Amino acid sequence: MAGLPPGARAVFVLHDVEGYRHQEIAALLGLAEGTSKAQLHRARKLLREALGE
Amino acid sequence: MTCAEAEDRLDDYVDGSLPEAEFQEMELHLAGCPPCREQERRLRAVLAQATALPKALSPARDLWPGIAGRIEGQRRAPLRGWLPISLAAAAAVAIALGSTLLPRPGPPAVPPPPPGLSVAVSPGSDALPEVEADYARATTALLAALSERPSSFSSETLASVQKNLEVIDEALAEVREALRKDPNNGELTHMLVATHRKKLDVLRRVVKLSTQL
Repeated sequence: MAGLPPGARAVFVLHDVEGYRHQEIAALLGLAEGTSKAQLHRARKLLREALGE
Repeated sequence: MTCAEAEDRLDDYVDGSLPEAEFQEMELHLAGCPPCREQERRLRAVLAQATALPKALSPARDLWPGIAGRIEGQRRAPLRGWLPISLAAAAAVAIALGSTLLPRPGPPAVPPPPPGLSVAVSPGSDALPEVEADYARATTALLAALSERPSSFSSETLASVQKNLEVIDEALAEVREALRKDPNNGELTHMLVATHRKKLDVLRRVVKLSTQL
């Protein structure tokens, strides 16, 4: 998780560790909701790839 | 459904937020596609590990209410004892820690940051170092105010605060590093400034808590 890009990491932590919704994350980080979803997808994909290595 | 489409929908599928029709399509695809099933398995494993992590990054839910509850006139380790550490660690309040995650402050117990600190900074702006310096000065002022308070927190509370501040500091360093590589990234610039602002928020609240001891 430490190897994730900062933006993706922040969203991943808030969504998948802390349990916040995209709407809340968008408000917290000043992002569009779509950006939050995209960042989460990016983070999860990178972690999936790391898991397969 | 193609594998690319399945990849696009995998998050929503695992989160249970796919519409029924797409859910059924996804089930069909997964049933006949071992590589996509493997991706699903990995994602579920990632989420299982994420869920198992301690929620140490969310003070509003775990740390801060606990702090408030434990601070009941205890006077153990002097607050000023952790100031040198917090000076370094308090470089930021995490990207992941929005001010709304923290208890709402009452009337300000200490002076608010200089008005200029709320000014937005354009990506790649030369003003960013200056804004960072302003935040650093405001932080120093708050820590100085903190050191003058005669109150104290328990060692357990101090450890929790310190740990979180260290995580936050690390997050800020990462944003700075990312900005160094991509100075015109507006999102990162926003994160950096917002992080500084929230750091001050937290410090103000710590000062406020210290006055209640």
